[in-house]
Amino acid sequence: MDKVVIVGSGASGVHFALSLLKKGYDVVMLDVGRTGAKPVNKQDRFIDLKTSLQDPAAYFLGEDFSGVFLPDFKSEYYGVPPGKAYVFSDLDGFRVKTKGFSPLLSFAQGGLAQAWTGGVYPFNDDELAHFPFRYKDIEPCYNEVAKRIGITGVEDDLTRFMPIHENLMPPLRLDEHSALLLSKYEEQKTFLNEKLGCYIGRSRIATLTEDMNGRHKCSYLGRCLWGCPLGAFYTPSITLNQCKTFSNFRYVPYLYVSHFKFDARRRLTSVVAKSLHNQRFEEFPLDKLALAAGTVSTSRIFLKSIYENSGEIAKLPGLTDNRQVLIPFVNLKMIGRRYDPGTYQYHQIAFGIEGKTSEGYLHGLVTTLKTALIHPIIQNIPLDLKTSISLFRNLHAALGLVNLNFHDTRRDNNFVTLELEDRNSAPALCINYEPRSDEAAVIQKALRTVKRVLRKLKCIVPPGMIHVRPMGASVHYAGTIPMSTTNIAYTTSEVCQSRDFANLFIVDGTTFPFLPAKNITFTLMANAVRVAECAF
Amino acid sequence: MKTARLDDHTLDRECTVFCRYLIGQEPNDYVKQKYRAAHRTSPLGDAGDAADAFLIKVAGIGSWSTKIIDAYTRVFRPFSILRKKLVLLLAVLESCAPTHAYLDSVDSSSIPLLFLRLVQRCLIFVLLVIVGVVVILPVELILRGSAKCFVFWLPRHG
Repeated sequence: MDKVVIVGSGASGVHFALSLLKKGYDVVMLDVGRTGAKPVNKQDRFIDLKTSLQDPAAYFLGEDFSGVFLPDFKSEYYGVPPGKAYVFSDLDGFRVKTKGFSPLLSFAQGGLAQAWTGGVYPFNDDELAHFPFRYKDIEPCYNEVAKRIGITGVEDDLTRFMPIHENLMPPLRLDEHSALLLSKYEEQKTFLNEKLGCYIGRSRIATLTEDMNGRHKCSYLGRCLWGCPLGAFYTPSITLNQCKTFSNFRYVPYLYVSHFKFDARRRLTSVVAKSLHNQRFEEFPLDKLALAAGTVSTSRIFLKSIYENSGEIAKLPGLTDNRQVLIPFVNLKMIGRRYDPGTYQYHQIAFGIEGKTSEGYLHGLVTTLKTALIHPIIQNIPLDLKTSISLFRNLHAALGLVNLNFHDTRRDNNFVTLELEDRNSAPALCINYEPRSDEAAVIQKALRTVKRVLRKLKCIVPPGMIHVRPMGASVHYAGTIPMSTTNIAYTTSEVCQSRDFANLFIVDGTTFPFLPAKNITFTLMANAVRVAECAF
Repeated sequence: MKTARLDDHTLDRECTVFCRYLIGQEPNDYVKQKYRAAHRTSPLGDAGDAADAFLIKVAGIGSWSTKIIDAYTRVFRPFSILRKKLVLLLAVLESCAPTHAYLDSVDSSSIPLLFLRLVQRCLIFVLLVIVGVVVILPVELILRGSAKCFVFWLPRHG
């Protein structure tokens, strides 16, 4: 069997690896592989931690108080708790210059999805129209991934946008606020469906409602955001640990992959990586290489390899990302009620709004506020803090947030390339992104519809609180070396085999030729399984 | 102009006054310890410029003065050191027992009563901002002016 080297341990990499391991391949996974702290007091509920921990402020705010959101905080607020800060921590020497794009990169074991919110939504045939395969071709892989990670969901009004696949577990217990929104939807369904094209249903979530493979089902500790201590909430490190049980698997952490080497026939011979222990470069021979480092890092390795071999600075056009708009709302029926921290914390309901074409579809995730830190919200109320606290206490259970996702298409002026600053230093990665010229109008139109939907659900949107996130914030990057049926440079075949290097496979979002308005992670995992099944 | 780092006694006093103001409770030793620690590890350790020092000093007199200065800074100095201190303390209070219980609770009143109370508090807020403009703003402007003079004076005499 060939030796396959995989770069990256994120959602794509681990599922690709697991499929190959089951087929008997020798797999070496190279990774920076940063890890976080182990979960504390595993049986405690969120609320109990404030009493049971010896230093609760250090847990919730960080030893250095880096989790405190002070009034002059200028960057985009992601609400990542200190325990998950390692997922986004920088790497010395990794330089990236950006214009119009604020990428979030991860060098963590398990990648960016170590800090995801668990939404798993299969693409339908409309959304796969730009892909060189149909839903029926990838459906078995969705089924397989669902079996591996555990997904809850039901057949409901959202099924028209996201097909039902096998191995779905029963849904999670709804929190009071989400249940109220759903019941209101049932009352207003005819209007919402027919006039606004809006359909609401249960989120598909990568969280267990039944014990599975040594993982415990969700027991509603309210700690999802802070790191599920029971493994009920899926993260790729769970699959990585499963890979580690195979004798034909070797995981090599603390390595930063620089580039691959290839011969005159453009066959890859080895991959070069820098050890983070001693800063020396090491070379790993290979039969086949699979890049799964995430679109930005995979593009960097691809570009750097060409540069190291020929001095050429290539450009990869077509970078895509979902524009996201955050719409806070207050549910009038929930004012004055006490919030329940003993519930699932991320979005439990989602909505889809039909467009005239598949590209006009809008996908919204509805999160009701529970155990997130509250001081970042209270300080933004335009009153003194004491009055703001008083107001917030009575609004807490009534607050929610819609995360509205927009699709993106590949365009030539959105690209990744390298830039030489001087002859002696390594080239820096450059990312350029420009939104579509009609984007502002599209967003405004969508917001009008979403506000009408919320009004029908007896919710109001506080004025001035809607936030258009910068490009890069959704972390759904894709599209720079797309799958294509046409044999041209810087593309891959339908099984993600590079058209430039025969023994190179690109198994992450880099190959997606279109980005629907949906969470991409489930399809990343399923596509990685599809490549392993079809090409190996 | 930067003032010296604050001593533990001053910080404890500040913490007590601000805690009474925010949630109507006395801080326990843990909250005081975290408040002190945060000042050692973050930019809050400096009292800021003369105007910041003045605002913190007046706010530290008692709950009512804190409320006036808080209302004033919410509108005119949202990034002031005082606001940062109050937000920091709020973050600590929401993270630990028993103070988080207050922040997680609701007023057991009817919705109309809650609404009336909110209107009353908003009116008080507006009133306090006006008081702040009349009393605090002139002093702050003078202090800012003198700070500029001081900076101008420093290179020649320092």
